[in-house]
Amino acid sequence: MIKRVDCDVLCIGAGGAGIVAAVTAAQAGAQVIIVSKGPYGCGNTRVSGGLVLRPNISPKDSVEALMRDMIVGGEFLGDQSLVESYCDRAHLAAELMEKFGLLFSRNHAGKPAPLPIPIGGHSLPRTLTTYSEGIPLGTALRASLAHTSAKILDETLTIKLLKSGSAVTGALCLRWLTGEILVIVAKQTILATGGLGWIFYPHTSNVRGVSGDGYALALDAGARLVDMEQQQFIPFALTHPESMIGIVCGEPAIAGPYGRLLDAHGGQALTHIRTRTRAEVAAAMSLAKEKGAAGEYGGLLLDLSPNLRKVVGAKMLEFLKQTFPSMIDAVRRAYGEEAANGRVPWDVFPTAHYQLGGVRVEADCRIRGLENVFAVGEVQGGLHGADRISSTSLAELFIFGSLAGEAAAKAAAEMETPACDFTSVDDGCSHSLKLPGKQGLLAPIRLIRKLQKTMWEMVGPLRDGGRLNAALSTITEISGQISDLRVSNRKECNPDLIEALELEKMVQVAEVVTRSALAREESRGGHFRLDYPKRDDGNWLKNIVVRIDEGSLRIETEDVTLSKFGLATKGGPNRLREHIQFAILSILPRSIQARVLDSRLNLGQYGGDV
Amino acid sequence: MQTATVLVARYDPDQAKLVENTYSLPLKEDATVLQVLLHIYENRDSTLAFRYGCRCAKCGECAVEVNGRPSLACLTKATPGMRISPLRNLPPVRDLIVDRSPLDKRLSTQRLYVSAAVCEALGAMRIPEVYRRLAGCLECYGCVSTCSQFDWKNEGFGGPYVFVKLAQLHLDPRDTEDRRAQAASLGIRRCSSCRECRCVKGIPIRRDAIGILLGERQRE
Repeated sequence: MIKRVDCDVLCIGAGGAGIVAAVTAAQAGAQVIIVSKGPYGCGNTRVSGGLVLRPNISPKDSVEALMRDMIVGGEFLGDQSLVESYCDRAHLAAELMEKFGLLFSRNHAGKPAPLPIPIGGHSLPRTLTTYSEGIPLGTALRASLAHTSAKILDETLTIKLLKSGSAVTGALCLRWLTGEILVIVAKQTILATGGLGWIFYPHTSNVRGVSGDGYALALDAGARLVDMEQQQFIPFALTHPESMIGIVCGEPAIAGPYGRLLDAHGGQALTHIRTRTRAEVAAAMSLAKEKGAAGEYGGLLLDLSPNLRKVVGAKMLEFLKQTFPSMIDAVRRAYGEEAANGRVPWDVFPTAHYQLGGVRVEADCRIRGLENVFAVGEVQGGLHGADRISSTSLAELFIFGSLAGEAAAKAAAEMETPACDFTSVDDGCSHSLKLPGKQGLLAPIRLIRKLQKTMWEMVGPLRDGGRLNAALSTITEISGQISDLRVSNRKECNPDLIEALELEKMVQVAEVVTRSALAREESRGGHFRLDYPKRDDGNWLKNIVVRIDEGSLRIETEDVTLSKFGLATKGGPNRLREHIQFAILSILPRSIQARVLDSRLNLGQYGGDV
Repeated sequence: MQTATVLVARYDPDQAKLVENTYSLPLKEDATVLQVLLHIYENRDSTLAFRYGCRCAKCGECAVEVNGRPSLACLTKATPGMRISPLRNLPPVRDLIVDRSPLDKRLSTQRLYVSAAVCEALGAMRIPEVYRRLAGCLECYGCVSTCSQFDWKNEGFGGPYVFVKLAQLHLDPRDTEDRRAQAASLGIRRCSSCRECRCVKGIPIRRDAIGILLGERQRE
């Protein structure tokens, strides 16, 4: 017996994007249901570093300057109309976050304290921080949801989007705690399921549930996925112990002005780390490993200690401890107190962090080619092109979450509840509904682990034709083995069942990523191919677009439209200017340096315990 | 690597009680409780239900009891003979899974969100140091597990999670409600001589949340 519920707006996913959309739609008067696969508000948003974009800190900043940085940072693959839509609303993000209950770190005067320097691909300082990374953001999101009438269906997995013609009309879901199957009929649906980092486990910063459901749901409903080969591998993550593989311990900026990246032979794998993009550093590290220069745990050594001889380095470490307490705690647990103090190098390797490609949308976040459905947050594609500059993703949740929430509420107010044909719901997913009690030989988790290992080794930060083809054959093999799954028939909290449902989507998403990676015969952004190591603007200023055509994947390429900013556009960090700033600082007397840095980095304002 | 025995107390909804299962497995010296659960799940019994998310003490999903103490499975070192069991004082569902919704609901019933007539964003304000420490609360619900007073069915008593939330709000310069009075009406006096609640991340709940709400300490 399938139960049915109706709503105006259905949000699928309850991280930042889904909750912001749900709260916005509910505040606009819509009846909202929000479904969350894991406990709501406990996903990647909470686990993030808590860096938030705030434009216009510098008087030199403008919408155009931010656009230039995002488009240059994304290596010209981004959808410029979507980037413009984002940048036009970018000033709203930080303000909205505080209205949702978050507090950004304050300076001595009590004002929000931005990082004093540009980081992660920005040309100007544009980053606010919080008091405990992403944790208070998760807290604020949960609290803001409590302040509305939105109905939360926690621990509810979406099996399939329902459709009528080209319109999405809701979703079929499994309530994991009870085992109940639910049809949710919605006038408007907002897909906010996050990324796919979990297909690279354990080499990911992502939480367990982020296994790419949304891409498979959208593809199945007829959407197109764009540039799915583009993953952001964040360069610095722990390599051991086993329980901590893949946990993030920083982006390039953490190297500070004097940090070094050493290989196993003591050579420098890369210089000027601090001002490089995440993609550049990750690629250089992967290449060093390929050449046999990685250490015992497969990583390189990030040596922060040269900073400590300078005032700026010591202050920087103090700042890191204050701003990223969980991250530094992780370093301490893995490598010890001396490492947490920057005196002992950290063994690091890139980890899958953010899915850049995703569901193709219009500039208003409506999924292209479908009706009554939006995609927001990481599941959306096209905004970040081939690399995402720092601090933009948490802001995106609010910028586009609020846009979609408002538009969905408005559209829902002007339409009737769509008809829902129960027999077709049953037909479309009878296979999924029959999974409990399936008598096969293979536990779903076994196949999931096999898939994850293949994806990391063959489709990770370093790729070539041979590896990608090998991955495809393993993926095909796993896909065939799905018919032999063993799934227990427990009703409540059936882990076999949720992983069987996830596995089917993961296999499809893995195939999309791998085939897109095979198609792009160049290196650009997060996609680095040994057999095509250079960016090729002549042939590959193209988006790779995937859709399902008569039951099978179809891969096409489309020229990127450089509607506003051409290849000659300049953007991103100004290395010379930053070098001069540090040089000037270093010739000041040490006591003055310390005072300047305390004030700029917002240090020492509490003077110990209360 | 040594072979060790661990006990997992699994809630069985059919019998409505905990059933202890013993597993003998290889235990590396630096293994965590989460790794032990994953080992059992991946190699022995793929029906074992437990939650986990980030593996690095941020998502708050993997809170369980280890030898009777609320702990994050990802943060806690596994030891031979340990006993892993579900958190207490929340409705058990199956195995190590407890129902989080009774505490989720308190967010709305107790108005545990910033209440301000006009919430001016990004304004100048002084934020107390204690607020910063409390901002690290993961909402894992581990703290209610060892509370002798908390009962999810009794909305009349707040319990440590709700008191941490109220302290956060009391310390938030934007919040306009009298959160100390609210805490008093939710029975916080009963906490004054008790120190049983324990935060899996080490937030000193008695001092930084309950103490603040009881007026034992000032904002700064």
